[in-house]
Amino acid sequence: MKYILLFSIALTILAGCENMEEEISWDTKNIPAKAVVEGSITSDTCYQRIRLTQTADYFLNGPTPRITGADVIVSDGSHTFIFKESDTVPGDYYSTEMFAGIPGNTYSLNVNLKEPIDGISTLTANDQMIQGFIIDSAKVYVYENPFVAFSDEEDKDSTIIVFYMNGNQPKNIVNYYLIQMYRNGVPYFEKLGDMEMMNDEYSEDPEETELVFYYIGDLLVKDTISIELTSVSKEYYEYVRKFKDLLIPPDPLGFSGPPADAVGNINGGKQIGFFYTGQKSRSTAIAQEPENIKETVN
Amino acid sequence: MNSKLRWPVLLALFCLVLQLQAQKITLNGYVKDVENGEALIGANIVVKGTSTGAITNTYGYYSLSLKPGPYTIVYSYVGFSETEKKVNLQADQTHSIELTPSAEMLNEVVVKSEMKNNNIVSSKMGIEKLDSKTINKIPVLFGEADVIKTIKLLPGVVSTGELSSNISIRGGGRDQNMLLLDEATVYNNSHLLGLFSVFNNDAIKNVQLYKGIIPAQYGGRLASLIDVRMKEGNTKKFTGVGSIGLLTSRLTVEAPIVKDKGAILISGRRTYMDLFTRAMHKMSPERAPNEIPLYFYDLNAKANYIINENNRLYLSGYFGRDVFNSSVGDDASMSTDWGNYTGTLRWNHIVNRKLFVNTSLIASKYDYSLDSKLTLRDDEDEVHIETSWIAWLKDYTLKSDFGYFLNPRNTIKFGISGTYHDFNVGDVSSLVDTSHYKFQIPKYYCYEWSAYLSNEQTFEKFSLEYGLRASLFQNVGKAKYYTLEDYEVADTLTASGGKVYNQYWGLEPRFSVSYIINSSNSVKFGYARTNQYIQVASNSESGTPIDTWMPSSKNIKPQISDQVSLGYFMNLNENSIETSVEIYYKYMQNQIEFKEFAQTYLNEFIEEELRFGVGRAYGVEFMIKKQSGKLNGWVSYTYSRSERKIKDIQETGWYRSPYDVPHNLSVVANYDITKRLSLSGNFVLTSGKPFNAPTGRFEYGDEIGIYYGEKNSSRYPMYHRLDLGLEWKNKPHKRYNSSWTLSVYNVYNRKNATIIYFKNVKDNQYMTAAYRVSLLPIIPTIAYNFNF
Repeated sequence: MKYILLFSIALTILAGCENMEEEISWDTKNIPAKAVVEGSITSDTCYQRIRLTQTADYFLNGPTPRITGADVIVSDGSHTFIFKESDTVPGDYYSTEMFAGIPGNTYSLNVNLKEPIDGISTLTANDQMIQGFIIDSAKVYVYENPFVAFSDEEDKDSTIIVFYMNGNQPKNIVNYYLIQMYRNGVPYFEKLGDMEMMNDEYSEDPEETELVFYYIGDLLVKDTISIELTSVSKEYYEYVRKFKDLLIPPDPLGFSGPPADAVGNINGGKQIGFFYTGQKSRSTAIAQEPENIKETVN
Repeated sequence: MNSKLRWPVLLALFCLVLQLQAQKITLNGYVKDVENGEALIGANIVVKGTSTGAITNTYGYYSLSLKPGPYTIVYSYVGFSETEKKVNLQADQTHSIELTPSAEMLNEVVVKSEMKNNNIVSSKMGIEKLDSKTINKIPVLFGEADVIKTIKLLPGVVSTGELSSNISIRGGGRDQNMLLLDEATVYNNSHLLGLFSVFNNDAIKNVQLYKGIIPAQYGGRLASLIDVRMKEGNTKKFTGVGSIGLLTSRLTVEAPIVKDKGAILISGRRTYMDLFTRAMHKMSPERAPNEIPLYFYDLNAKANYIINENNRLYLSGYFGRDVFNSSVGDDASMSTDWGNYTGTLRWNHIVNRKLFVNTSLIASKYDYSLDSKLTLRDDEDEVHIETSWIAWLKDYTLKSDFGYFLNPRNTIKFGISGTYHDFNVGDVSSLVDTSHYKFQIPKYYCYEWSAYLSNEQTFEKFSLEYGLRASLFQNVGKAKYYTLEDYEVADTLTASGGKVYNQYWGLEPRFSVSYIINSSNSVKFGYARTNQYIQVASNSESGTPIDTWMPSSKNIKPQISDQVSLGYFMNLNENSIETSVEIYYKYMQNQIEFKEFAQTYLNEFIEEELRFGVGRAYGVEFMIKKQSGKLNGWVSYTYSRSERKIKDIQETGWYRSPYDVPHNLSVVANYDITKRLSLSGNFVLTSGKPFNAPTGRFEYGDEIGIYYGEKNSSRYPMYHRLDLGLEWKNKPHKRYNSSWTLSVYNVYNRKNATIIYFKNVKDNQYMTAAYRVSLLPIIPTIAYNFNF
């Protein structure tokens, strides 16, 4: 009986440790293609871009079809900017002149499709550019991450950086930011899903002259780190938050809520994607060891 | 009739009726188990040769009013030998009886003669009864007999997830079931994230499940009442029962306080997988890299005492805790724990032979806490950071329930109840070196009152139960509350301590009737309205340990359900086989669902995240049950649908609720091969639950985004599983008995999907795939059981 007990214990533990995730085949329901808009107007002086694509079968395993031949214009109420399709990248439409978005202005997108998609011929959206934090100076400190043992990828979560930014931003409004970093000149976040986000809703700085950003990663002392803040509207911030949520697989115990579509601002949310505006500010600093742990934490 | 004579004649007739009533003699008493003194609930007391009789109540008490004269009274209960007692009723008498368990349970002839047709005659429908012996026989996960896992095998009941102890009953939400343990509400019935329920079967006497036509005595939840009663304790002798298994061990002891007058019961259990894995990790970190620092323990305790023939006291309690601890050296640690506490003090009082009252004072609490400690250092200094997040829901209830046994054909019940709810949804505090930081979600306080009146009435061919429940819900200060417009906070207000700043009330009629075609066949119909004033504040379908509850408010109206049921009941083979088919339709108002991407944790304005609409559920349930003999068990099949219509969730009208599981088949069988060897098995087959699966992809921000479309339009694959169990009883020892139980969960290792999700394949920008996680493969377990 003793051996039966030990055998059962071993079998139970082994059964518990078995790899329980596997890839399966799945039949998706075919639905008519929908138009997708990915467009932005930023405060950088450049040829601004609007990208038009379509949805496709989930298991397409290739680029989704582009929408070509559309008429694309953006206006801010006083100027109208015409966009022309790229000769080299179908579906990408660039402004015919370089311009920079101006904080406070509302930009409206209007797209007329060459052929209707799912019965839709026109795509519209608008977004107001929000004045955000203008960085004057910055410092970056690097700490060892004491919780690294709890991480699934210890080599990627080995440090915590704290980015202090001095500057100023409009008082008495809540600002929302997307954050891109550059490590020694190379973009740190490759895709939208990797980018960090923050808002100053709970900032304790009444003068709004300081912004602090924390990140757990693998940045090291003496790395040259550049931070790029993009001030966006609350609507776009929420869209990106939801979009990023959907990229994370749900927990196997069913603790998270059910997934759903991230609703954008194209045709009042009835079409897919988002047309957003972003005011940018950048700064660069060399990562240092902390001067004094108490001062840093406080 | 001359108008002047009308009133005197009526008065004389009334007095005559009273006189005739007054000429009835009342026989009352208790029916108990001779071996341990446990009250037998639902025992039959019948005048031999007639259909006149009574049934014992929840405390084993009966009262029967008869005309003066000699009678033979027959006392019976399933699994016990009948006892007859001759009485000569000339004055009120008390006869308490102790029945002997039937030694010949395998003798089908003996047992059949004892079978009663209560399920035919009673007007109750949508009710299932389980006792601890039945629950013990069901092979389940890790061999731990489990009340909830057994309930999942009954018609109309679906699980919200394989690992979950939460259930949906007749298409209702997981928070629409009232779980009571000795009348105390249990808010979170899960241990170990759903692997076990909080109910220790060794401490349980029986369980009653009401699936919608809930008696007027109960309320507060739309879908069901699960009434779990603890054993009272052995008033005859010191006994114990226990088990040593691979994951858990448990021990229950019972003893008389004073023989035949009072007893005490204590029952405890603990898991120890954490001890195993910690020891293995220390011995060999390479071979056993993973500790599992998660365990639970719980304790049930009960005492009861008969003060005199008219007064009895009961005190029962439950305390359970799940604990998760993890640390990295001395510098960082995280811990979380959650659990329930319940306490019930009850006083049974016989006011007179016809009037029985139970008064209960009840307290229950569900709470959880998350704590972390961190030390940051540099060469010169160090900083300590401690963070704590706690939440709780506390209830305090005072209630009285009266049973008036007017005559053999009428049992009147009435009562009142008041509950005080204390919600602490989230209290976060941080200590950074010497600086304190605090964030508190405003607390809520509420009163929930109710009163009811009902009657159970029997005729030759009919039995009826009808009643009315009135409920009142009040939000009281001290509170900070807010109003919404278009789902955004429009105004925030405060209420001073004790001030009622919002209230709702409702009338909840209940009605059921049985038309008795003959002693083996009946048709039943029922209607019930129920109101629900509190609901879980979580969008997880399975439930989590950190779920909190929220009350109705200015922005959240009470949920209301109206259900009708029609059933046909037929017994075969002298009542040893019960069959039934029931159809039901339920319409629910003010159904609540969280909007997509809702922020449910530590959200001061959580009501902004809610959307409201209606729901409907309908279905047909088939059941065949054999309760006696060498081969016993049941087969149940349910076809049901559950839908919701919430405009701001889905514009296109009705959509599948998360609990829409059209097909649900359960087969439960136990076979006593010999007196010492028995085999049991259960097979379940259900439709997959609905979920959101991708209907397309799109590109955005160099990512592949998923397009879902219509809510819950896809379905998981069919779920099916076979469990087997074998019990071998060792030869009886002078002082104790023992047995071995071998269980195998998921015998053919079916990879049922715990979750299906979709994501990009690593290292390939465009490739996506579907993944299935199956957490419960074939799991054999062995346990050693003993009793003394």
